[in-house]
Amino acid sequence: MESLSRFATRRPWPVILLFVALTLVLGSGLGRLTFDNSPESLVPPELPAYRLFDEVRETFGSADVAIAALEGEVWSPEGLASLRAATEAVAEVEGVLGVTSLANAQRMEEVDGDLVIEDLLPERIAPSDIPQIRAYVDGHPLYAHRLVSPDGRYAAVILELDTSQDMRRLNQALYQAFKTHWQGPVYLSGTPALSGYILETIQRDLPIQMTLAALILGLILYLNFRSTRGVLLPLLTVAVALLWSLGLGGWLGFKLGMISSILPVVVLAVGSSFTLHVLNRFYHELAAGKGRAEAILLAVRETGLGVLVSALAAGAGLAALYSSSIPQIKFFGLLAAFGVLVAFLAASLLTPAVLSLLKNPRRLPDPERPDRVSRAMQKLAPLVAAHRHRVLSLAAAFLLVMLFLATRVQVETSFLAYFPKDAPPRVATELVDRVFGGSDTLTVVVEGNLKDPALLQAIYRFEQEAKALPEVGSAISIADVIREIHRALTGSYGFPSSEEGVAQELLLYQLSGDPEALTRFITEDASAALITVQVRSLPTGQMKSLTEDLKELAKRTIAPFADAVEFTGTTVLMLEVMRLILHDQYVSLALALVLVAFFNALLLRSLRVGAVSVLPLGLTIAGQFGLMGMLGIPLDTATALIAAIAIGVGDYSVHVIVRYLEELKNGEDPGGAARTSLYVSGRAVFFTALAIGGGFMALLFSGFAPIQTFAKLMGFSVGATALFALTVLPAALLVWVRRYRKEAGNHA
Amino acid sequence: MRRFWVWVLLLAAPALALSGEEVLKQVEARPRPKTFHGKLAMELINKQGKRLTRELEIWTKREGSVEKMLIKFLAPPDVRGTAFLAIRKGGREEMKLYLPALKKVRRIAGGQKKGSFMGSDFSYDDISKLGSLKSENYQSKLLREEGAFYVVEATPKPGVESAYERLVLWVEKPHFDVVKIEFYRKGALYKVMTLDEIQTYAGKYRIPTRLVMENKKTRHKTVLLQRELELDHPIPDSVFTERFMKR
Repeated sequence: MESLSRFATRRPWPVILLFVALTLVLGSGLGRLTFDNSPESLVPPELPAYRLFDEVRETFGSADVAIAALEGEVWSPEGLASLRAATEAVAEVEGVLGVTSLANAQRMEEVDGDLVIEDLLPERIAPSDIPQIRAYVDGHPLYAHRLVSPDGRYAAVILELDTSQDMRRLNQALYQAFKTHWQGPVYLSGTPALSGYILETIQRDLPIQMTLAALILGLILYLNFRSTRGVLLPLLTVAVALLWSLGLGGWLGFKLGMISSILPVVVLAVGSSFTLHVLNRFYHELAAGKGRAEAILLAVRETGLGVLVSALAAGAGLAALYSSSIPQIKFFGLLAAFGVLVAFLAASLLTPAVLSLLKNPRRLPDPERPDRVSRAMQKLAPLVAAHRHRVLSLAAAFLLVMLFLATRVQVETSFLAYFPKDAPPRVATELVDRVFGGSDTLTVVVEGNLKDPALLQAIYRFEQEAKALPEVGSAISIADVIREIHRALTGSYGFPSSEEGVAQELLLYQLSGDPEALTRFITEDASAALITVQVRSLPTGQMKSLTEDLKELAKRTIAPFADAVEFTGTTVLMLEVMRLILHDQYVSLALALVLVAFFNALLLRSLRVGAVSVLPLGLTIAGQFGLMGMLGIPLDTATALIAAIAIGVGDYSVHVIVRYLEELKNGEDPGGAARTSLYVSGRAVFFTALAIGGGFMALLFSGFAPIQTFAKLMGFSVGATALFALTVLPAALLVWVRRYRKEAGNHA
Repeated sequence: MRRFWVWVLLLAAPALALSGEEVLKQVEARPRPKTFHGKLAMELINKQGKRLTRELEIWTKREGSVEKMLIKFLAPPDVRGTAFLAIRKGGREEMKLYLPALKKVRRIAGGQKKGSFMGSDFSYDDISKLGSLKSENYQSKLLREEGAFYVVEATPKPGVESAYERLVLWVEKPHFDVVKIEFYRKGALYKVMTLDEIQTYAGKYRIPTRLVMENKKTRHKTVLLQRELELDHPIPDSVFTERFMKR
């Protein structure tokens, strides 16, 4: 590395041109970067539940529905005409597979001995038609309360959607189509609205967060260096890193979602610390009277090992996220690790190259000269040395308490929890929950002989018992359709007594109109059917227990008559995602800690040092989870990342170790080594922590609760790691690493 | 002089070619049988390629402005005996349905025209287009000639109720057989019908014996095979009655 840096100092232009060229090539991928926050971006495609979801989508058209509520005077000729126009308009929107509303509902009933099968709404709706239509709808279990609210204030439009679409575009197109034809307020609930809103917020927040992070970093860098170039150089290196990693994402066809939208801030915050260390040293050497070229080389040599170790550790911690089964987290880990390594490369090559071209600054402040911060550090060292055993006992107690609290952490994957209370999709979802009894859907797939009246009866019983649960709004299936046909034919609700009867009534329904209307409920050969259970949008824990209750109910009622009963739908997928997040958490955490310990041990040539080096990180992670358990902060798709990212950003404590070992090697006694180490590296740790923590604070301005929480937790983590690195770490070094005879890795 | 004949030929050429309207008139001018009886195998193929077969027996009869049609399901066994009767007199249509499981004949009211023909991808309207397109309802235009085919575009005239906004027909030249129709809806190709086997009966009737309708939107397909056809054999009126439906 050092020889490369030397080359960069001697021949700055080729290095700069190479960086420019690569930045242009990779950066041009930026235009290809797309956004996607569909449930699919969170669900691993090989998941069995996803395969069923996909199968259902292929067979029945859609496994997912979204409900729009239109507010206004539904029971009026104008209201119904507008509803019809709106229904027709949304049916034309790309990505809409099917639409159901009063406007395209069918009327099937006996009138004067004739079986009338026709559109519910006549071509021209006269005021005198309304009472009759309303009476029919009120008595129809498939329509009443499902397509219109009992008070007639809200009409529902049930949309079957292709969830692989660009949700933001779909959401806007739907809204546009509704608003063109419906004068009153329109509430769009469900996945497209939520995902669309998420994407809109990301795209709005992203530039703001990046600017803020850059401003905060700039301010902290200025406080540290008091010079323009001290601010601009680190920012230049992270800008390069950012362009490379986002561009690479574009070239690889990755899509940014809510989780991966924190990528820029992570790269900015973590990446800037590398150049900060190099520059710190450079100014120090200049101030000590060294020439420019020598100062650059010395800076790279002195900080190289620490920067390399922390870059590798950060890369490893982030890359460990690649072990996640959740696609969005996987890609995030990969790109963030890449970005961090690029930032490291830029710090060791681009920074020396640019520095060698710039004239020496007129004013030469030494950032490593004793100031208030370093004096405070100097006082800290003897305190820690005197109480090292007490410090370690306190740390052990802290670890135990936090681990205990961590057992109380809850998992939350409900999209709704992400939004502020007044966000339109949240308002819409809560309204649809209230007015129509549920905005979320659980899809039950029943396989078997669906012509068997006993199975139909069982499905109907399942639906009735399910609807009795307070969280369930409606449940409909082919059983309800057959009951309707049977009533129209015989005058009473019920099921035919034979398979033939069922087959013939199904045939009648097919003959009466659109055959597609039936394939939403049942396959053509009547071997599989769907039950759509509309449920309230619930927190993950409650949704899980509701799903389990319904599974139990299906097992009791339907299973004895069916070949198979399975549950699917976005909600079920999200529950699976929750399980994976929990599982991945342990894997990626363990992996990341082992990787960091491994790199530290390898580069510092001592297993014991490697083990001690992860102490601040281990304590911080325990602290994070303990804090989450204590404050009731749920583990969700965003907070699931904190441990891995904490590992990525937190390894700046390595600078303390490197300096401590250096001093031991130079013949200092452990106490003196600790003092020098804190005095020299403590200030850098302090400012690095400030820069990284400050960078993450930009995420406080995110439109999502989980990202804000993530930012706060990161603030805690960065502060905690710094604190542990300056107290527990030296204490541990003083107790366990009192000698360091081996050849220390010579500045890599 | 030679040049003069070239000019005559050039000027006369457009007059020799048929207009779209004339092509459709020729299609309609083909003789149609007074009665029709035969069996219909209907294969429903969904987008995953799953097949479901239904067999029907069909009787139709034309007498002046009265058209009668009876359809009985032969298979699958669970719908065997289900019968559908339609009698069109002038503009009015009466439809009846017999479900053997209920042992009752029910009159059906309501618009069936846009509906599916026996649960297939064909609509009643598509099926009736096979007999007569009613070219007076369409604005037609000869798009081009493709070898042995006229390609004609037919657009419903204003005020004519139609499920489609545009049809494109391929008409084979010697017999004026329609061999393919593309149905357009909302600017996009919606369904395609291909009549890939056409046979001559009684020396004059050109009857399609294999018809395929593919719905481009749902990727669902129906194959109709007509066999054991009897044309112009007398069919007694007693066939088109409730009693015969129940038999």
